[in-house]
Order: sequence, then structure tokens, then C-alpha cells
Amino acid sequence: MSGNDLGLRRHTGRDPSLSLLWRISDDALDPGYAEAKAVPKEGPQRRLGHSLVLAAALLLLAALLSAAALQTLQGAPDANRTRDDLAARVTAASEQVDAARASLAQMGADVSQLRADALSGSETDRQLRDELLAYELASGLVAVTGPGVTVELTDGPPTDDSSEADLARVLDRDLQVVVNGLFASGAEAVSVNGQRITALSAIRGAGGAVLVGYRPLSPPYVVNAIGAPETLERRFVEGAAADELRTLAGTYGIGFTTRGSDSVTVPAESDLSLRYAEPRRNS
Amino acid sequence: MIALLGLAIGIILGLVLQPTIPVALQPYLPIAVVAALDAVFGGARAYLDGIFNDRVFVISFLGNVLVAALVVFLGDQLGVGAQLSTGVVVVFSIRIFANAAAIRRHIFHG
Repeated sequence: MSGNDLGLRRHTGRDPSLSLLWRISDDALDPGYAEAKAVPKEGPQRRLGHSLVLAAALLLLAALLSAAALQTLQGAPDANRTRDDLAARVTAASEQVDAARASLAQMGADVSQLRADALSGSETDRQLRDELLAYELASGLVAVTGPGVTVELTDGPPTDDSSEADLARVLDRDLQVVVNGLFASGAEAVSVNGQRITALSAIRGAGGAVLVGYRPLSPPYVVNAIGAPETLERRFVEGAAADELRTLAGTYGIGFTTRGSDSVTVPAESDLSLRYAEPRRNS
Repeated sequence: MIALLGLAIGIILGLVLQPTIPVALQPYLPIAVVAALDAVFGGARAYLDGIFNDRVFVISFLGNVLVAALVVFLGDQLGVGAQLSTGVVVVFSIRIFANAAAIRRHIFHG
């Protein structure tokens, strides 16, 4: 049976709109094979030459296939390498940021020390210094320590259902509830994973991450709060915030623990500069 | 026999020498491979049909590879390279499937 009359026969009674596809699949075998069949055979001399040509073609074919395979295999690590490069650059850049922050904090401490030294002369100076320190304490510019509570939040076990994957995670809202609850219970200074909560701090979500003052944090979230040793923990645990967190813990498996402590340290916020607000002059 | 030897040497050469394909030609390599595969399946089917002819095979192999690469190259110059690549791959895939089906019929229906 030759490909051509098979094609003609099968073309009838077919959807003509598919004729292009039918033609491609009917002519799949190169028509040259059928035509060459009609030509009489050549002598043995010619056949040897043809075998060599065929061998050369197959050699080329095999080289092509293996080269392509190698190319593909080597291309995959290239893509990975690019991603690793980018990840390394991101890590290096955030390390630089961390180092810069640390040096900023150090310089801030130096400035405070120098100022304290400079303001130790007269009685007015000392008064000024104490006033300054009180403001710094309240605004969060100095690290503070004292009795308080530590609240720890951890992500719940991941759910199989991808639509509910977010529910078992600790969200920015949950941290807001905890921090607000601690302040409402009388906390004087609060930090989340070492980030001091000041009047300028925002706790918010970006993508899957929780940001405190523009710094992305990762679980577990440890909230330190300093406050009255007898009442802070009790008021927080009995308050609405802890109630809500207990509900979340019961429903989604979020980890929520609170423990009182005699000594909690809350770090300073290094950057509290106001760019627009100015002191009001009493004139 | 000589043909099989050529095949083996080709694989070894490709793996050992690891020829670096010029960057300009790299986009056409996958297309060339698909075109070559089409020629291989066509040849295998012709062999089973008893009408295999080495001359036709060699010409269809080289022709397929060159024309496919040329078509995609022209497409790239005209700004429709991706679409033409798809077209070439679709056509060759249909042919490969049709030939593979014929080969399968040969093998399983004696």
C-alpha cells in the first residue's frame, strides 16, 4: 500500500477543515521512500558508498542528539547558579544593612555617652541630662531592662489545603493584637524579635512576611514587654488579646506561650529621627 | 554494520568532545533535534515497510534539520520566531506520532 492512495481514500468522508492536519499525518512517511522503491537497484559498488554516507549521517545525528542533551543538562545548573547568585547578593546586602545598623546603634550610644559627660558639670546641666534621659526612655532611644513578660508565637503545622495555608501562620494582625494587649496591660517598653516598638513603629504584613518597622521578621516571634511585675502578666493573660490568641491556638494550632520574668531586656531603636515634625516654639 | 558503527562513534564524539554550540546557533538546536527525530522515525517506518533507502534517509535528515533551522531563523528575523518554532514543532510532532503509530502497527500486527 502506498502512502498516496491511502491518503486519497482516507481524505474522503473527513472533516475538510482538518485537511491540513490529515495531510501532515498522511504524508508522515517521506514520499521519497516510495519513489526510490520504483527505481531499479544499483550495483554493489554504489551501495557501499551509500552505507558510508548513511553512517556519516547517523554519526552527525548521534552527535547532534548528545550535544543537545549535554546542552540541556548544562543549562539547568546555569539557571540555578543565577538564582543562587541573586540570593547570595541579597544575603550580602542585608548583612551590610545589619552591620550599618549595628554601627549606627554604637554611634548613638557614643553620642549619648559624650552628651552625658558634657552635661555633668552644673546643676542645670544635670537637670537637663535627667530630663533628656526621661524622654529617651519614653521614646525608646535607650535599651531598658526590668521585670516583665515574654510572649512567644509560633506558626501552626502547615495544612494540606493550600487555600488555608495562611491561616496556620502567625500574621501581622496577631502580633498587633499581642503588642496592643501588652501596652493595654501596662507595658512600658515592648520589642518584637529584638525590634523596639516605638511611636513610629508599624507592624504590618508584606507578602508572607511580617514587617516590624520595615524589617522583615521570621518565626518564632518573641515579644518582650517590661511592666509591673505583679499585674502585667496577669492583666495580659486575662485580657481580650490573650483570649483571641488562645482561640487561634485552639483552632489553627498556632503556638502561644506567655511567661513572666524577673528580668526582661528591651533593646533601643536606633533610628528615631523625625523629618517633618518640629518642636513648637513658645514665643 | 557501518551505520551502527557511525551511530556509536557519533554518540561517543558528542559526549567526549562536548562540542560547544555557538551562541548564535543555540536557539535552533532543539528545533534541529526535533527535525532529526522526525527523519529517524520516518526512516524506521520505511525500514519496517521494506522500502528503506539510505539516500532518501540522508537527504530527508539533512533537509529536515536545515529547513527547520532556516524557517526558525527567518522567523526570528521577522519577529515571529516563537510562533514559527511552535509551528515547526507541531508539524514534526504530528509526523512523529503518525510514524510511531505505523511502526507500532508493524511490530504488533506482524
